[in-house]
Amino acid sequence: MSDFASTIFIPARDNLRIKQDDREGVIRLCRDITSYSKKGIFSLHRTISEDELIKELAGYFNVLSDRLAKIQKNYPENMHLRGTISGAVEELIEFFTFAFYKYNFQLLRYDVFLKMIQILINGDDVEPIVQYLIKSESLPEAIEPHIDFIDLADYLMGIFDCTGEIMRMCISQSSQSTGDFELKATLNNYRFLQKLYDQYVLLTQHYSGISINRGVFDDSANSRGNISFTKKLQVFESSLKKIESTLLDILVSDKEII
Amino acid sequence: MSLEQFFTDIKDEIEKDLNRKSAIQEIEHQFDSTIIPYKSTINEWINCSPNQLISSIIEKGANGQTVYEIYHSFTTKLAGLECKQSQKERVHNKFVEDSIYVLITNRYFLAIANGFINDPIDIPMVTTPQDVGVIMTPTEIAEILRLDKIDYQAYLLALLRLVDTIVEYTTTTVINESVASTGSKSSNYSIAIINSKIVSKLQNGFQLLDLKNDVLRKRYDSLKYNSQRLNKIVYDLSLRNLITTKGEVN
Repeated sequence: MSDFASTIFIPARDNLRIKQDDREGVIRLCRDITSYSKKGIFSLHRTISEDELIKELAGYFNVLSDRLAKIQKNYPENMHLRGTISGAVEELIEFFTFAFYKYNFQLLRYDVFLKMIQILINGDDVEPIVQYLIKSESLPEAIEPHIDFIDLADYLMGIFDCTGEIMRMCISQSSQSTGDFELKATLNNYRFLQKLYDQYVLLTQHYSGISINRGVFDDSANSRGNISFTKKLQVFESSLKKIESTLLDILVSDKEII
Repeated sequence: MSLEQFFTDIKDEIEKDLNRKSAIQEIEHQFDSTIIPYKSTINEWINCSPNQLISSIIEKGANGQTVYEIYHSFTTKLAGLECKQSQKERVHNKFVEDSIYVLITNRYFLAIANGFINDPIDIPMVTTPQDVGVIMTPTEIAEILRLDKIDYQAYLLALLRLVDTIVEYTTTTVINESVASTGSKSSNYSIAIINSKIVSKLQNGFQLLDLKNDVLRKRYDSLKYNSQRLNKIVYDLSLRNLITTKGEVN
């Protein structure tokens, strides 16, 4: 018995423990990425000075830089954890797309997003990223992204969550309404989300079984991934309806004032 | 950025992923087709009584070199595909696990065939200088498949599949012997006690592992039911004094 166990199961146990420790390490990194992305989103929602915001964002980016570099390094031997990493990546995408949208009223380009993540992974200065997101200043040239754990499919899922943040921004805008400026901003946000929603719906009409698993697209109805995608689309729709209600309230309130 | 352009890019990516999926499924299908003869042979052995195995083993047993060539050929094809790594990984794992399963199952039947030539039956659990072991070790697997690193997850999963095969072999043999009973007592009934001891040792081995809530743990849970079934069969056969040839696994 001891021969048999020492030949097969003791080495197997040692090997599986190493894999388990690696897995737990990656999970901790993913939690940090999720956590600091959320902190970034909260900062963006607050009414603070630009300098203060820049300082906070830079702090978050430095932490994200460290965690992303470690994931990039460990990924080749932990590819089976792609699903776990996807969750953190979607939160990261939500953070970046929301930051860019708030100051530019546009969708952040995927290739630009990858460049910024590559800057973080390289451990380069994070200041250009902050300046790009908030002031549209250009990123350093010659950044060629080589990121294996982020795919276009993740980006599509992350944008769903960004729409939720835009909705929250609209609600808080309206509750501080002091005139035309906020109304116009809310109206523009609404129109952007409406166009985005229409594009998502068109996509689902073309691929009725659309699903995403570990960064890979598929088209298979009623799969777990398809159900997940459909739910996100429903949440998006309800966000739109909340903004519609807000707009109606503002319009009615304005008329009452008059 | 134009929303229309972004969603056009999304559609392009979806088409690429669907095409990649088709390509990878084609290779997977080809691999399955290539492995089918080995699995058919295993099914034949499941229906062959232990003391009749030896001739079929010699004639149809899988050659390590051949299994390696199949494994190497398909992993090379897989590596050549322009697919995402996460798509390839699942299929590669399947190639490894299936190849290991074919090898360890062939080894099991070879050891049984050798063991049942003798009376009493004496089979080593792992290979000794004198005799071939019933369980092919990860080191032996790595040597045959020329793996840089032993994939213990795939090995253990294949081992659990082997247990399913062992249980099926036991029930089939006992049924066949009972149906064909001519009154004379057959050494083939000893397969139950041999297999029960093999599975019992494997179960003890698995208990040394720290299994988390993953695919390995889920597959391991069925081991206890298999073990119970074998113990029940051994009990029933012993009660009826049908096990006449002594069997030992050490």
